[in-house]
Amino acid sequence: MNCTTCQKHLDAYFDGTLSPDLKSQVEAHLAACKACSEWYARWPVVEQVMNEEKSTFSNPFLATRIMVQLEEMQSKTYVPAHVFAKQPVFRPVTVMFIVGVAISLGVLLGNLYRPLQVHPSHSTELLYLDDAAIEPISFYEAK
Amino acid sequence: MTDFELIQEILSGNLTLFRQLLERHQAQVFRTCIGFVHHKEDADDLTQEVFIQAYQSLASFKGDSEFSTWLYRIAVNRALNYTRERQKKSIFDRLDSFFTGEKAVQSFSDGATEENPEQQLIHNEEREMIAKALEKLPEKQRVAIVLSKYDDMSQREIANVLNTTEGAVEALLQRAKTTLRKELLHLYRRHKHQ
Repeated sequence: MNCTTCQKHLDAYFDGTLSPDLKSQVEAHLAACKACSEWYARWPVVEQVMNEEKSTFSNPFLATRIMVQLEEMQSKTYVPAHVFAKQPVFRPVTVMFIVGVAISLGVLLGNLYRPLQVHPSHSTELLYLDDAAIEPISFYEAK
Repeated sequence: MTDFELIQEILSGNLTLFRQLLERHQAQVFRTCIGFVHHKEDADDLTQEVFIQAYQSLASFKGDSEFSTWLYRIAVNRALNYTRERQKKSIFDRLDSFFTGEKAVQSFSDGATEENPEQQLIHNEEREMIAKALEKLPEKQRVAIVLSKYDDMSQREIANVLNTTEGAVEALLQRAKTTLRKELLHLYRRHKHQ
């Protein structure tokens, strides 16, 4: 017996509804296969967890809650609750807004830059003159 | 009154009769929902959404199939949408927790209350791993296993809900168990090494 066939019969094996022949084949495979025996040991835990969840009861007022919502929906003043609830689009819209504001600010600040205006009669070299570095006229007069 | 008769009455304007339909099918819808979301409050909310949608589309129910089958289809679709949205949301949560340094909140319900804290911790870890493994199953396999294990549906009933053949359901269940086994063994081994 291979792993697939063994697992196919495991449910019936757990229920005890397997024929004696198949039962012995499954047991032989479980004794020989580590993966299947590990799964065999774990499966009851999986079943137990599923059964626990399955036996959970819903809120006893759920039916009333649903009926109230349906009655509200029928009345004209009904505003769906999700209109006020946290919108799933809120986060992407906020991110897009922030990105948009950042780009606009960048463009605005870039446009604010104005290069220094030079009178047409002056040469641009004058801009680079460092007055502090020019020797006083007295320096030449002394010579 | 049969489900179909109740529906005819509700469609003619008698909303209060919807409560009877609700009480008849609430437990089964809730079980389906908890099989997908593994959290009681979320399953309650999802059950509410399922019944609201069922009421809104009640006129489209022609009675070709059982009302419960039709309701199961709505429940399965809503539950799958819910889990898809939760997966998307968890990406944002992980990003949030990365920036804030907080650990993402797990959404699994508490274990049995009679256990001591250590047993409860082990039980919760077990439950968490099983829920994770179930969530990793491909959608069709997950639907098949939830309907089979949580709702105790026969292969024929599952085939009706999924609009497929019994043979296909049997193959789906077989594949689901194999995938579940691989996922769980992988998770257990990883957990052991931590």
